[in-house]
Amino acid sequence: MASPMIRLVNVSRVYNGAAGRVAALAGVSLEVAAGEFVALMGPSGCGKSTLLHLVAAVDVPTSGEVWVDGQHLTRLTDAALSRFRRDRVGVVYQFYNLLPTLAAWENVALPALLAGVSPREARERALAWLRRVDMARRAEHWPHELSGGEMQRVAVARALINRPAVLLADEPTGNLDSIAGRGLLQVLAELNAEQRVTILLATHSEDAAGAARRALHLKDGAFVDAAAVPAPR
Amino acid sequence: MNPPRSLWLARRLAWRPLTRDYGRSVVTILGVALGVAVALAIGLANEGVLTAFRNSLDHVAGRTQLEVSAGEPGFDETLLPVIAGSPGVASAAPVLQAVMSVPGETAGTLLVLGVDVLSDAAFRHYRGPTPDLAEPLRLLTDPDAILLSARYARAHELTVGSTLRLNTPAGVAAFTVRGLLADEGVARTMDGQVAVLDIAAAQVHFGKLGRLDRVDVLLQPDADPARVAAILRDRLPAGIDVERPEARNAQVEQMLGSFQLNLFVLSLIALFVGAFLVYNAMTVSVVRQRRQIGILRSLGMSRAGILLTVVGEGVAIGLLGSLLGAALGVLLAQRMLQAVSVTVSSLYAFIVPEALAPPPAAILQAVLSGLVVALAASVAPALDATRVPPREDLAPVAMERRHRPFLLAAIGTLFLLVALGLAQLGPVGGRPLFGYAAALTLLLGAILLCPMLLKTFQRGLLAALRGSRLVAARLAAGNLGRALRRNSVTVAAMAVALSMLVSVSTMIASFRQTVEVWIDQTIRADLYVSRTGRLVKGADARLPADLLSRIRGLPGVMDADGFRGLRLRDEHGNQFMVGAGDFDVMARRGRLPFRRGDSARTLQDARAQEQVIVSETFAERYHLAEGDEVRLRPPGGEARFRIAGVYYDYTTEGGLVVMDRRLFQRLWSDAWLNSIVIYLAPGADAATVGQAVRTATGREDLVVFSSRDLRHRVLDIFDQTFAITYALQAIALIVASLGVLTTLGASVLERTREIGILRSLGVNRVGIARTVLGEAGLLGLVANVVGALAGLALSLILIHVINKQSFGWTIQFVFPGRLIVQYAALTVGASVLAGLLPAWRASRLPIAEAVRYE
Repeated sequence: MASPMIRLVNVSRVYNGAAGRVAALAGVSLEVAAGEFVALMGPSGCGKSTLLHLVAAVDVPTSGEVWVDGQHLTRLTDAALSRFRRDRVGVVYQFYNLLPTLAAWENVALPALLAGVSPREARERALAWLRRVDMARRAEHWPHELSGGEMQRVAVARALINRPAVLLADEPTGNLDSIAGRGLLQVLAELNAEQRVTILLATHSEDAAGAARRALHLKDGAFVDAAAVPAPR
Repeated sequence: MNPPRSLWLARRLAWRPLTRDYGRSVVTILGVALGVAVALAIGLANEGVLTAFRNSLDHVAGRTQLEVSAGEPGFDETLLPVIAGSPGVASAAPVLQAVMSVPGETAGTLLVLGVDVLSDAAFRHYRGPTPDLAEPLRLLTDPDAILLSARYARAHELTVGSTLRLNTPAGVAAFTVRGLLADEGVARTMDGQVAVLDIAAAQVHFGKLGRLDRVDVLLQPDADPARVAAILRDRLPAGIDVERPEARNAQVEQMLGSFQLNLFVLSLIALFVGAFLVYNAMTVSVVRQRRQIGILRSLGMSRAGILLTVVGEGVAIGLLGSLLGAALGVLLAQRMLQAVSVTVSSLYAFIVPEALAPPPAAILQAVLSGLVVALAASVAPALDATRVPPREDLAPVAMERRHRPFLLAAIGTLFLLVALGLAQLGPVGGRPLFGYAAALTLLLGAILLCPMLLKTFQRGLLAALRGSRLVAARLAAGNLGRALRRNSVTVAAMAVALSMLVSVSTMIASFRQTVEVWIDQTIRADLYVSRTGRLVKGADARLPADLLSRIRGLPGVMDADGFRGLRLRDEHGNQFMVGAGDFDVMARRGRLPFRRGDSARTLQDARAQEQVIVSETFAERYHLAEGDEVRLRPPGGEARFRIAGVYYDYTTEGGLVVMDRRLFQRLWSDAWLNSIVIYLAPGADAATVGQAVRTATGREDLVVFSSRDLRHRVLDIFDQTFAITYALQAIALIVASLGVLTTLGASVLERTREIGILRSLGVNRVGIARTVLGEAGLLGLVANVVGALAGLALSLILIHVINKQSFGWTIQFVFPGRLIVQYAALTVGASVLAGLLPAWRASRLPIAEAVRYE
């Protein structure tokens, strides 16, 4: 196997709370190959979101190494981390997190604009991605005019516009009804197949996990499965 | 809710956020303290000035029941027996009174009373700590004997037998201190700066042989003061006033009215700043605690409970700020009283304030006003808080009530129209009440227009930036429109502060420019000779008229003219001045800026036909114009004069009637001058001639100014008079910075999640900071546009309505282009600077936590 797309080596994340230190992740290791679709399963508070945040470079580990797309995240400067977030990962959240002052297509175009793409080009790309997630007709709408499922599709389009190596999804179906949820998972599976984008999906729904090719279980900040790091072949 | 439980809740829900958010609370408390302190200090200083006036009048008046006076010229002493012999009069005491400076001392000025020492004790309260006073005859036999207040003597290391030198009209005179007056009664006048002479000695030293300034009257036990006054008026010649001493208090209050009103308005602005800060702080607090409020509501706390919690926090801030402000205010008042007294002394009349003993009622009132302001300012945020839905998972986001910017704008426009109408109305009782109403309405109109302007500006900016690469600018513009009400309040507060600043500065700059042009036009002579180096209104500054002929004969002097000004009072007790100069010299050498007509011709005509010229202030006050008649009351009886011309003058507030000296001397038989102007022969050296003047007259107390010195002096006095308005500059900057600081603090807090998303999409820290700073700059920009426009409109009201109606001066409006740019740079700079902290905070937000909330 070539070098993995995502590699966590003995990663811990400890929060200092009022009640003392709480380890959200306790010495976890993980490898995800390029093009894989992996589901992270487990109850609330097991450390799924923390793990995703570390991979998305919006949080830093207390100890251990996080490698994504060949980059050692813990060694990057703020500017390099910002570039990494902009270009190499896309994130979809449970609560959509669209910017309320931007129209749907503008939300999608934002990362492209941030990457220095011209406004005209960014708009074209945004519209293309909205077509891909079946949202072209809602391009000019404001976030508050969209349903949950629609907002989540826009969020997916936004996450992918800069063609990241990795798509991270944190309970993307958590706020959707089952039909909208299934629709979204279908889109993710298709994108994984067509675009060869690596997907890491955190969820506690077996349904959602079913869309993935590999499921890993977290409990109290550690993997229950032995197979988080495949044995060398 | 029962009291113990409310207290328990209040401690935890209102007090804790206050202590937890330490920095913001301190800033807000200081803001309230500043407002209360300035308001209290101004109130106390105003009261202190009035008290100083009243005390000096009351101590001197003593038990006097009626005063007979005739302004500065006084009247003949032969009238004393007429007064004393009138029915109802028990006794009558003659008085001469002058303010005299002490040679060689920069601040030494004494009120010198000339009284009949044998009979005066019935009128005034004297007590001497030294046995020497038991021999009042020493005063009678020695014309150079003087009684001095013990306080002044102590302060200047004088004692019985010491020599006291005073500047008298005849030159420096030396007196021997023959007794000290204990610190009570008359000796407390002017904070103890008092000396007493025998009336006969005073007549000699004051250059008023055979004259009296005043006769004080005690009535028989059953006499009616009004009837006796009527009888006296009947028996005495025209031009002599008979009134009760209390009447003069009212005149003082009238005279100081406009001045004190200005200060009062300044104190209102200070309180307004406090209110704005509390409003802002409470808004941020509600945003920050939205989660807690949602949880409390879900746990069953009522809307009223939430309301009380938030208002409670505001009141706590108000109370702490007010108490601190009261303490600061008392400290500040002492300094402010000194500063205000200096201004009042040079503009209105000489006063020396006593040490302040702040009345508890005034302090209590200041504390209450601070509390009320804080309470009122926290009501709107508290109402917002009651609208938080009872849920537990809320992110800190402001609840914007529905706002109607266009309805507000329509009302605002209406206000502007009303302001325009009010500005056309005349004064009420000499006060520009409609002018003040117009100014207030204008400001309210501008405030009401702010939401619409902000919204329009934001929409326009968004449209302009649509699809542009400037993501940070785009987001900043988008954010402006989100918390429209809060942003509007910040913009409005900044705009109000700025408009005050712009208007007052424009008024002052215009006024200064007008005065400068006026000086350059009127100052034609080369040298000015007068007696006092320091300006104290009402201080004796007379020079003997024979100095003029001596100066005319000096080598290097081509021409010289003397000016005499006599302070008189009209039938209503208002002060004005009758002046005299040689109209021939004035026509040939000078150039007075007349409202209409040529200076030389007007003056020659007036001289030939025995007409007068009047200052613009006089014409405005008495509603007179060129060709009208003015009625004066010289000692010989009432006389009418036609007005030959009205000229611009900025030296007196009460107004000036000027006539040719020959006419003046015939009517008033007064042989004094206040100043002498010298026109030099070609090639003559100013300094040499100045020295020659001193040598030839033998008067070392003369001050000789060059025209340049005089110009500087006038402008210095001008600047000093308006120094207090610089407080406005500080206020504007405080409002701009603190307003932006708290508003953007709230904005960042609300957008925590959004900032998190942007960061997770790859915007770096600098990009986030730039967005927040952009918002700060935009707020400052909109505030500047509104503030500058409202300020210019306000300055027109100040110049053409308020100032014109209060003082009668015509001021040429000067467009303050440089000032506006300067203030814009200053306030936009201040708001961006204040945005740095929220921007820094925003750029440091932990991304993972920020994106977690809904």
